[in-house]
Amino acid sequence: MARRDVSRNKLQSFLVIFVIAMPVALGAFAFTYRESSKPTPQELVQYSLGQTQAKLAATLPPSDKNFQTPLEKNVTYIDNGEVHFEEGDPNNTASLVDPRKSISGYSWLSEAMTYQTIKTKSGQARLNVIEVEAWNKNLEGRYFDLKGRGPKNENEALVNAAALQRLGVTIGGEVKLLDLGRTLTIVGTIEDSTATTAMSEVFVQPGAITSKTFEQVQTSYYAVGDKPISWQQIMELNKLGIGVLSKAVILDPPAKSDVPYYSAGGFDNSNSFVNVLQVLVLLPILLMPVIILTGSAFSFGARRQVRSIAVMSSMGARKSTLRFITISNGLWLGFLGGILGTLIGVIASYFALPALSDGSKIGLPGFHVPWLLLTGVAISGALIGGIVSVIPAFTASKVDVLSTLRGSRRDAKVKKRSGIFSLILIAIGVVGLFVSVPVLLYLDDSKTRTELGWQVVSQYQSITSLLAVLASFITILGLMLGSSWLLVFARFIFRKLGTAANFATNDLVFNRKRFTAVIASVIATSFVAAIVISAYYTVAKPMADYYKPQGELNQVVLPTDYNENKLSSVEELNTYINKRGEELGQAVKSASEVAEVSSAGTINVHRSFANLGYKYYDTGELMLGAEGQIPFAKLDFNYLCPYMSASPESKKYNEANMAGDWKLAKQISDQAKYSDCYRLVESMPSDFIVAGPEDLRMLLAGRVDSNAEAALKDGKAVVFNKGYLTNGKLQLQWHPSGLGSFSIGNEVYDGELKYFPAQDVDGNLIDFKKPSRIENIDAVFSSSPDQRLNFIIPPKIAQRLGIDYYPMTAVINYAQPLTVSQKDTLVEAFPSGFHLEEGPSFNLEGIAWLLAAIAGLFVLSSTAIALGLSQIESRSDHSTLWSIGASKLFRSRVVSFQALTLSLLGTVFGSTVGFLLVYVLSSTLRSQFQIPVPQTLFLVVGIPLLAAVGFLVGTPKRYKFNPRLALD
Amino acid sequence: MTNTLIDLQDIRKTYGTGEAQVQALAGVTLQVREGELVAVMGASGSGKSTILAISGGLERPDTGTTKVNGMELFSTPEKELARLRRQTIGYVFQDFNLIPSLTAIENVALPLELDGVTKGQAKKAAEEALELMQIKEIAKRFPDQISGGQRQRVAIARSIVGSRKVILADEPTGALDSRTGEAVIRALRERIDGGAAGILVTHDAKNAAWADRILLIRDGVIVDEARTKRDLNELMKNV
Repeated sequence: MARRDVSRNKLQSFLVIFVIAMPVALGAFAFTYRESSKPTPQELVQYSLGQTQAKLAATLPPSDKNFQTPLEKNVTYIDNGEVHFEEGDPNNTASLVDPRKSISGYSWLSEAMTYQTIKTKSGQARLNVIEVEAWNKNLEGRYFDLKGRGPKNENEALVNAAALQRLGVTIGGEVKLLDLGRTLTIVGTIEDSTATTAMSEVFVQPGAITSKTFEQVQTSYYAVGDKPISWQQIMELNKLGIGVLSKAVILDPPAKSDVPYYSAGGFDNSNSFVNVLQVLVLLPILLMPVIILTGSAFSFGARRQVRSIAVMSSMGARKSTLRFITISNGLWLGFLGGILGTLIGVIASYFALPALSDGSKIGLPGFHVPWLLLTGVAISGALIGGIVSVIPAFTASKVDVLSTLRGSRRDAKVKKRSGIFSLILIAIGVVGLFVSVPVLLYLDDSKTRTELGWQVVSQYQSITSLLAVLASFITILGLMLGSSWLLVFARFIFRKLGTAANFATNDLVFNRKRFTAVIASVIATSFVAAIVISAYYTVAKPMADYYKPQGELNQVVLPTDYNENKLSSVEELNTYINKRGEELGQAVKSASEVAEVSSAGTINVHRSFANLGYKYYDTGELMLGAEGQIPFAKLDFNYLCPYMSASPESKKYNEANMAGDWKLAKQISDQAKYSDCYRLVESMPSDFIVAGPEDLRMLLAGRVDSNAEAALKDGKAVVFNKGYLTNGKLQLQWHPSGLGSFSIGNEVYDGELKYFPAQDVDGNLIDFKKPSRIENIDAVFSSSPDQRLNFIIPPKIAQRLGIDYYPMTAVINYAQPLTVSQKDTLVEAFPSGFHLEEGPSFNLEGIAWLLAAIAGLFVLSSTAIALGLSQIESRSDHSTLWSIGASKLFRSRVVSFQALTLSLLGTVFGSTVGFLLVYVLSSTLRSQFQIPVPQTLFLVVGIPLLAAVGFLVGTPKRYKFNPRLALD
Repeated sequence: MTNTLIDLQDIRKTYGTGEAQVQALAGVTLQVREGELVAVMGASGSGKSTILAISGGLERPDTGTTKVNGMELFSTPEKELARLRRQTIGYVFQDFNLIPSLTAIENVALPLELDGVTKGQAKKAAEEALELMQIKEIAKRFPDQISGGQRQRVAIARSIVGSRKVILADEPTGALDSRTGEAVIRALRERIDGGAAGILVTHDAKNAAWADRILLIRDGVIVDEARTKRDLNELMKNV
């Protein structure tokens, strides 16, 4: 009967199967991806060791407290349970042991990596140059696909395909090592199993580079021979500070009890209390939407069968038989969904894996399908189907036979009892969530950590977090149970909005059994979506905020301080200034040819050249004021970094305090005046730009600041930090050269600036409160990320004040982000270094939008599926409406209004609880709770609107008249 | 000269494909004038309801033309067709097709509300229609709270509410006792006599006798027509 039911109701059954297939497909995809990304032991041997027995490297001095895990080469020093990842025993100054001398019976192949500046096709770049006999037969597999031959001398090299393209050479061609002034002939190509597709690598004979540079680089050794290296031998080698990756151990790893790394206190990520908790927390969160959606699909199926069940009941069928019908239907559909989902997941992973992989052999060793696991996943589809059909089965078996056969569809009144019960659950959940906040804050307190110990606190935090998650579940459950009341509430609000709205909300309440499943599905998916979005944003936003751009996007930023430490006379200075101008002009020209530029040019800077030649006293102290009195900008003391300098707030905000109190750190980063404080302290604002409005616009990469441009025209200064602004003026003070500006004009607190008072070149005490000259210039504030820009004064002011200036820097604004090849060219144009501002390495908002889009897709899908199923049930009513002359507009407005109401109720309540949960847990994440506003609006409001529009458009123009009826 | 309100010309309609293909109508021509009630009789599956469905614009014929109140239904845009169903055609379905979430009076008032009539006026007209059907007392009950006969009468009230010119009734007395059935048919007849036209699909000769003409349909073809009681008696022998 179940199979026949499926074939008779193809569309509906397909929807139910699809609902089950979706999570199964995700699971199958994830498992296949994980399995395919993980090399098998044989693949790990092949791609890491080739045909050798092991790879050894000495990284720590000998110690009995050195340990390693079986499948990682790194050796770690663990003392009294404390893991030192980077360094070994700090008191151990013994030399590293040569692995080749620590074990006998093998011949050795070495591998060492250096970085060299190499002339590329478009410019120059720092590339990996690896000293290894990659072409050696014993490394076949570790390195592969040799074309040509191996180098026969130190002036020959192999390259990988990526390098061949980047260098713009062919086999037989030459590449230049610019730092070393050497040329290598390319004699072939070979690939590295561990290199990503983007990594350019050059392979040379061992010692070909380091024997010339005497550079100390870490060298690994491959052991070539027949004797396997056992785990017992590895443990002994560990004591010598040598880490080993052995073929024998990879193929037959030791039991965990035989790995002293774990018993010594090394991190065991396979048996962690936190991991178990994470599974306990994450699994229900991820499964909830699936179960709700599948459950609603089965409720739909059961309601569809209710008439058949009533007929069977009237013929004397037992309740167990009636239940079996629904459950067997669930199992059958679940089974089909499981099979379909598994196939979709496996096929999707086959096509998606190459795109998701980093391109290395070891990153994607092969397409591994975990068939056994996937069989379990497919069966779980049937099980989900069976489990979620239990409640509908029991409901169906209790069907009121007479009223069903009479065609009565009226549900019972909305019960007050269910409303009260749901309110109680919501209250318990919300109180639980809010109580978790002070508990977590208490646990996060440094005093609590000291009293209870870090590990105990960590466990308590995990338990409290778990309880908070449970509280959020209870809240969600309460909302779901109370969804009938939400519909009554919606009717009360919306029924006055016209006939369509009245009809729609009336129908929602009347047929709430259909529609509560829709709300429950949307609540569940929105809840998860809100958690994902806000958790990401809460964690990632501070990271993005921490990023300090050094210029406008796609702008080349040059340092202003070239070479002056080599200057020792005014003549040399003048020569340098002239040469600098020419160099900059040429560099700007070259850089402008790299890619399309929106603006470019040299910029004049006043640079004091303080301490020309860096004169020192015999005692070694810097000779202050060697160049006389130079202008400094007065800085408002309140703008100094409070934790880096002496200030009234420094005691509260010192680095030690902030390291232990993230909220204190957050507090200071929230204060706008400190946002750029490290620049002010570190830079010497005796350098500043002398420029007009055109240059300002170029410095801001075309961004127009009309106020600042007008100010420069009017002979006013433009400051880029409010710390330079005192009552609307920039104050320049003339002091002896060589001073740190941060103390000038301000009080010295608590004697923390210990090297003051200082003496000038003539031995006189410098009085910081009495500059030799003061000039106040009207100024306005403008915002710029460029740290070179302390402030700008217009040329006519500089001339009036006798301040000289020269072309000392340049600006190149590119229209688009540069490619790797274009950056290589830029390296060549600015050999002294430059910064290309490319923005943060991750796109905070872009990823948030991606997550919102994925989450939105899930919410929209669940809305469409659940509401689509309910609309199938409503079909007869819509058909009646159509037959009595309801226009398409009216009918589509009814459905659209229902879609909007149901999805809006779901997204608002579901995402509110999700956000609440992340708010509570954010204190354990040590981060301030954050919500991305536009993405959230998209999820909460945009998705319901999209759903409404979808159903508005998707309403059929006419309905098919029932031919069976027509044939009478 | 009275107007022809329903005009079917050579209507053909086939359902299904292949072996499951059934010819419901095989060239039916029928005109119903203002003030005329035509009864259609025939065995199950003969095509009676299809004539109604095509006349009501619910079903498209394969060939032939259908005019209602002068309007060719199937070249008319769906929007106009909907308006015709709201304003001109009253349809009584065999299985009532009431909206379960609306009360009896709301069901009856719905076509008028859909047509933009104010709620108050629609309610007043619905009350009159319910009164005509002698079921005013169940106005505020939902369909599942009333008997099958009462549902039938609500459906008829919905079909005659307002000033419909065409009434299409598919077994309107099927769920009613003979006395109520007669009252309902009498009400329909009065509405027809007031200037409407109607087609009544029925198995019941007593009901058919209220019609001006009675058509006998067999295998999708009108095979006989009765205009007098004697004709009817003859016709009933062929049913």
